[in-house]
Amino acid sequence: MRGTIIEAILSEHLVSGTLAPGEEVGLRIDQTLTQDATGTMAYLQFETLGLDRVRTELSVSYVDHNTLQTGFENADDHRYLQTVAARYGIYFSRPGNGICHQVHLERFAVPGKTLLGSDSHTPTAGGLGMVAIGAGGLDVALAMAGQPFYVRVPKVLGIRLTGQLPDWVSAQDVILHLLEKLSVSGGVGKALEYFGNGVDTLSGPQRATITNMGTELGATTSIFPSDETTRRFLHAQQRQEVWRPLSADEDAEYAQIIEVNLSELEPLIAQPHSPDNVVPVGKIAGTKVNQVCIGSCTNSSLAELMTVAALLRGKQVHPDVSVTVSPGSRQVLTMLARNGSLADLLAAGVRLLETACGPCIGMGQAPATDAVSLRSFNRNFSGRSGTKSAQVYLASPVVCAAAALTGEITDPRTYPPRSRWPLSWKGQCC
Amino acid sequence: MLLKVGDNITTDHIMPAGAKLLPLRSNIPAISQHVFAPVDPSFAERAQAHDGGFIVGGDNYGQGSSREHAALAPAYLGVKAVLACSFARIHQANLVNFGILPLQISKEDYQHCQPGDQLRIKEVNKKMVAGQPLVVDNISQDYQFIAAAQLSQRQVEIIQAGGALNWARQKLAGAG
Repeated sequence: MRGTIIEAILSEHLVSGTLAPGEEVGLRIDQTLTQDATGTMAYLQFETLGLDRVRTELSVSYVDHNTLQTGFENADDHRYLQTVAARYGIYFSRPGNGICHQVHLERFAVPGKTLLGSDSHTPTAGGLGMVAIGAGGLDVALAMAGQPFYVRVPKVLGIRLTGQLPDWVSAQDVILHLLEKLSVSGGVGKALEYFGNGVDTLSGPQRATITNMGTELGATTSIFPSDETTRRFLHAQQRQEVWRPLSADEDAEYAQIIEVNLSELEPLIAQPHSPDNVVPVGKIAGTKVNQVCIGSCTNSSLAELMTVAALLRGKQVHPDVSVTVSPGSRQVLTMLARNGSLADLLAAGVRLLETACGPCIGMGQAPATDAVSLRSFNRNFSGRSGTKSAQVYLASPVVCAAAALTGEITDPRTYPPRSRWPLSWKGQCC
Repeated sequence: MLLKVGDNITTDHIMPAGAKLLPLRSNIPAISQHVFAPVDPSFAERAQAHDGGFIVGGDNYGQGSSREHAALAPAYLGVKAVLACSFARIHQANLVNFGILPLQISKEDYQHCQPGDQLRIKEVNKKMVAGQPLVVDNISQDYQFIAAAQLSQRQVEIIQAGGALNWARQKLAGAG
């Protein structure tokens, strides 16, 4: 791992142990995040430790999971989260602000810092060059108490990206490609570090899509370099001052190097009931689809949703398909509203959902009996959608948009009948 | 042995989420009644009737969500150890945090174990401290097999303290 970004950041945060793969080390944690489904327990645990205040640089309590209030329980939990945050110096992100990982990218992620979150998709922030790790609520509570986070040092896999994504191929296809190659256990005990000139072609949110779903490999974390693209994203968020450059040494040592030529990728799809059950979209084209859900912490950035809106503009979603869109954050939804994309989505017949996890955590939108549901999400475990007999597939927002229009799984390169990506600024925005 | 499950069991299998169950996340006695419901709806009742027991799993046990309720609720039901061919990182840590032993077993021993087998693990503390593998007596089938705890020194202390919360409180009290 010598010369890698992972090594550099872990070294800066090493409290105990030696940085050798497999060894347990203690790491200083700069930031923590929780979400409401795991947060209540984490804060109850924190409260038993008898401290007056959190001892991190920043701790944020998000509300994004339990946003349906069909009884008093969720609302009571949210009231507790708000009061405990005020008591101990924790930022409280009220329901409606958005999905923890998207909001954290926008507002708080800092290259070179460590983030521990009581949500497995915390590595999303690795897209901006953070060492971001998911953990149980109790480990996050201890980190809030200023205690080190103990973890076995992962082997660092180097993922060399070359080329550029072709039209209709998305960041989601990069990680689905790796899932097909490595399986849902292929990343256990490992960290994925991306490098190579293909990195330059990916935007901040695209990188975050890839690090987000590194979780499905079982990886401890995933990280991209912090470069000019990162700086531009932070500048757009009016947080340029937190930027610092991070890149691996020329001769960095990786446990293994995996080559991915972005130019050779094609649209991919994960079939039921595992994210690594991946085939090219074209192979199962024509499969009837009953539900399409676009959003989640994996794919709900402004660029992804504007692309979907551009594809649906002036058209109607297929009458046999229920199509939902849940924007990742209040910021994303506000910008969609201001630039007219939201009107395009609504006019096309999309059901707009709250900026939250929603159907990804089974919080509403359970599919019909035996239904096929195509989602731009990260997990398609059996029953997770709320319907045991549902067949859930995972693909990029573009593949989802194509299916929304045709009512069947569709290679977006074949429909709609135009060859160009709808947005001229693909990859250029932030 | 309360339950035997296959490879890649997710925390959604162990502790399902969704609109019906997530509101119970702050109510451990209530949510624990749904542990392993998608796999075997009688699990919780059986675990409580036997006053706890063991779970046997295949590879990559506990993949997916970081939800510690997938360890906390089984602990509430009295689960003492999970014997699996391999574990996902976050869940392995969560099991230790709530005082459940994650034990690694071989594929052969996994295949040999049958649901309902009576298992006994003796001298847990002594062997754990010495870093030695544990010996599991399969009383029903009259044979023994090895189970490796693979715990760090810190994790041994956590198991001895009955979980990470007790461990951390002792540590913070000692420091302050």
